[in-house]
Amino acid sequence: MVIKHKDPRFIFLKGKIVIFIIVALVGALSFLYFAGKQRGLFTKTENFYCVVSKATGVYTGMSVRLSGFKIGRVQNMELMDDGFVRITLSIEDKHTKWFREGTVAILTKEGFIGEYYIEILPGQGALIKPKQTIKFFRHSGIEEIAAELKGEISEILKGIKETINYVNEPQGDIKKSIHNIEKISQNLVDTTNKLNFLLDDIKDKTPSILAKSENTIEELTELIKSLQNSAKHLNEITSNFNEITKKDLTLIIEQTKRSMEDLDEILTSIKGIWPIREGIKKRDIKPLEADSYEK
Amino acid sequence: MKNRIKFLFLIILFLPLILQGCYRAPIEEPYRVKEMESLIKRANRAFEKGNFKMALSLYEEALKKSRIIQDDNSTVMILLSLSRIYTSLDKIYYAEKCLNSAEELSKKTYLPESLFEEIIFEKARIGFLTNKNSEALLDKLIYSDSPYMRIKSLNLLARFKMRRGANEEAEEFLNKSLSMNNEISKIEQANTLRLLGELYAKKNKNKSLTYLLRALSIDRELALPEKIALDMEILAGLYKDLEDKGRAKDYFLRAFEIWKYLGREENQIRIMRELESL
Repeated sequence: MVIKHKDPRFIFLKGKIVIFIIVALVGALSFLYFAGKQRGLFTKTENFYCVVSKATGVYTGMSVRLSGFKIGRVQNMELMDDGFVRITLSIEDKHTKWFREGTVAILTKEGFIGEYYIEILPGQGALIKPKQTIKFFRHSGIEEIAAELKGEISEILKGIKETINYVNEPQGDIKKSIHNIEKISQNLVDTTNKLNFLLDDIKDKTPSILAKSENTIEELTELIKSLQNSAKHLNEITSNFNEITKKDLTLIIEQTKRSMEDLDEILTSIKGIWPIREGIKKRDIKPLEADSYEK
Repeated sequence: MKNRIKFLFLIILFLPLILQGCYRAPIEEPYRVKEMESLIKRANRAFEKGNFKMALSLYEEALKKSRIIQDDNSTVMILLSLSRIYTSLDKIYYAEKCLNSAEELSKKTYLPESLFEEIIFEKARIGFLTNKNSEALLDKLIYSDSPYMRIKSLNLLARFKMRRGANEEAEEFLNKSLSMNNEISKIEQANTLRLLGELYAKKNKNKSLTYLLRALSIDRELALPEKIALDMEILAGLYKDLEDKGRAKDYFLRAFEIWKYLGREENQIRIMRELESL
């Protein structure tokens, strides 16, 4: 019996399958193309070589960068007959212009613990043709730095060990000093206790001192008040005295001056009268005394 | 009658006092005293500055004032000062005349011991300058109560002895003076050291040099140009004897400059001769 496909979903089924297969193939091919393109499968590259004695840290597919931008990768590594390793760097064609005489490749890391990569430092000379060898250097990573520092750290550790031993020595200076500090601390505690006792004592006596002080302050206040009153009286007296003497003082001074002058004259005259003048000491005027080596 | 007796008694009682009073001027005239003192001070300052003529003129004026007020004490003092000024001016005759007047007046009046000793010392000094034998005058002065007078008398006596060649005696006097002079008079200390330097100049040149350099140091400290020049001149002579011509010339030249500044031509000529002989 012939099965008749009457269901409308089966109409042009073959055609639909062919279209599906074609679309799937086109999609798969497109994916492969873009994926390949993304991975640089379709980019034209040129090879450059580096010869090193040790290729530790270098692996196939490692990125090659210039100023932080990827320009290629390590394509291959092979051990040569002389024991050296030849590294093949596959560089995108458009970036070969950076490969000039003096160009060097440096194996370095992103930070101390990041991924290894090869950094290209362009030279200044003429362009290098592909398949030429460039110089290769290794940048110290944390392992190398640690290896370098190992010796120094060992010495430091040795020194620290000796110091610790010196500190721990029972009869050593430091132990003795600590012992002395302990003693001083103990003495300080004793002194503090005594001070506390003294302060307590003062605290007990303070109320009586304060009471006396209060009395004294009261007495002082009274005294100041009476002094202020006295000062007021004195000011009044002084102002009265000023008023009284203002006119007469000049006259008094002048008269006193005249009297003093008269007195001076009288005294001078008396001094000159014999026999008083004999008793008055002469003024000390010395002659020109010659010394023993004078002319 | 009783009144007459009383009157006579009073006259007899007060007569000696009245006579004593009339012997001197009744009043001293204080302003004249002041003027005289001012003149003496100015004269002393002029003398210290080396202005002898000015000092002489001022002292002569002071002498007149002292006679007007009849102050014998001041007159003696002024005459003594005049004597010193005249010796500095090489007028020994006048110096002696002043000194004799002072001595005569000192017999009539009461003078302080120090002033009296100063007259004797001045007399001895003029005797030394005029080559007279006045050593005996110093015999009493070396035992004076005043240490300063003792020291300078010992020094002057040592100069007399050195002139006579009695160097041992001179050294004894100088050492005595030096030991006695404990900051009493720096001038006399320098004088003693200078004399000791002169004394040792022939027998121990190094010792002589030490004494002279000490004397120079003191005189520099006192800033006495005349004494500094003297020290330098003697030092130069010593260096000349030691055949250290460089230092000798240096000290001669320095002394020459000081004498030139002081206007002592005689000393300048003497140094010029020394320099020529170097």
